[in-house]
Amino acid sequence: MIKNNKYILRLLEGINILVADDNPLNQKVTKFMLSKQGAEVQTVSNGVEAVDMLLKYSYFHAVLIDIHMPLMDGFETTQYIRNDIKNNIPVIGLTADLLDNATEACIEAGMNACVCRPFDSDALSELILSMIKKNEVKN
Amino acid sequence: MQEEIVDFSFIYEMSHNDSTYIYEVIDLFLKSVPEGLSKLEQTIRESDDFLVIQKQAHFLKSSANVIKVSGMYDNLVKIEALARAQTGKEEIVTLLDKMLIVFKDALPVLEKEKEKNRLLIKSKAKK
Repeated sequence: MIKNNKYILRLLEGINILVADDNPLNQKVTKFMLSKQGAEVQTVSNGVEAVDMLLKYSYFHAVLIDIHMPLMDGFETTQYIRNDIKNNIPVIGLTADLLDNATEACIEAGMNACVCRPFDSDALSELILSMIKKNEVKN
Repeated sequence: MQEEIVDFSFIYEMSHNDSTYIYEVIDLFLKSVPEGLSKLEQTIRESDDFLVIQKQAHFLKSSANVIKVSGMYDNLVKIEALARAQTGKEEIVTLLDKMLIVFKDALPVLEKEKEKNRLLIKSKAKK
């Protein structure tokens, strides 16, 4: 792909990502960023819907989840994914700030990483890829 | 140099000036943020429910990071922190009032930018 005379690497070609975020603006930004990198992105608005999607479909390679959401927040959702449905899919927490040791809390809940908005598209894509690769090695 | 009341640089840079995307993001911002601010205002003026104030400020903070209305993000950070500490109701009201005044001035700027991108989409479609 060539844009503005520069080669743009589509790092996430063939990767299916589930994004759970209750803020429609954030959903749109995240989806756009990841789609530009070649990913297939599906969005949901809370943790319950995220769990539902993971139970219905097995094609997701990674989940990006907002920490603060109604019904089931990012922490509860991840714990459910790990402990109840026993799914070890890479889960990356999304947050607007890193107050209250958010990273520690994310890891404790079973997430693989935590990123702070606004994030850089390339850095986020590389992080997602590295989490998927690590997961593949583990399995 | 006078500071711009609205900073659109994030969405322009991220989308590589994609008018359709910029139009949609501004449209979504205009549909969701005034409503969110109004909910925050109502909670602050009519209750002392610090948890709801904290959550609503946090929710709006994410949007304020995408299209940056002058001072909005910082004021929301302060409101969220005060509400988390369950203190400073007067300061919260002052911050809210400041934010609402600026947001009212920002609305026509947002509308203008949205319209500009709508026209760009239209002209591209004609080519």
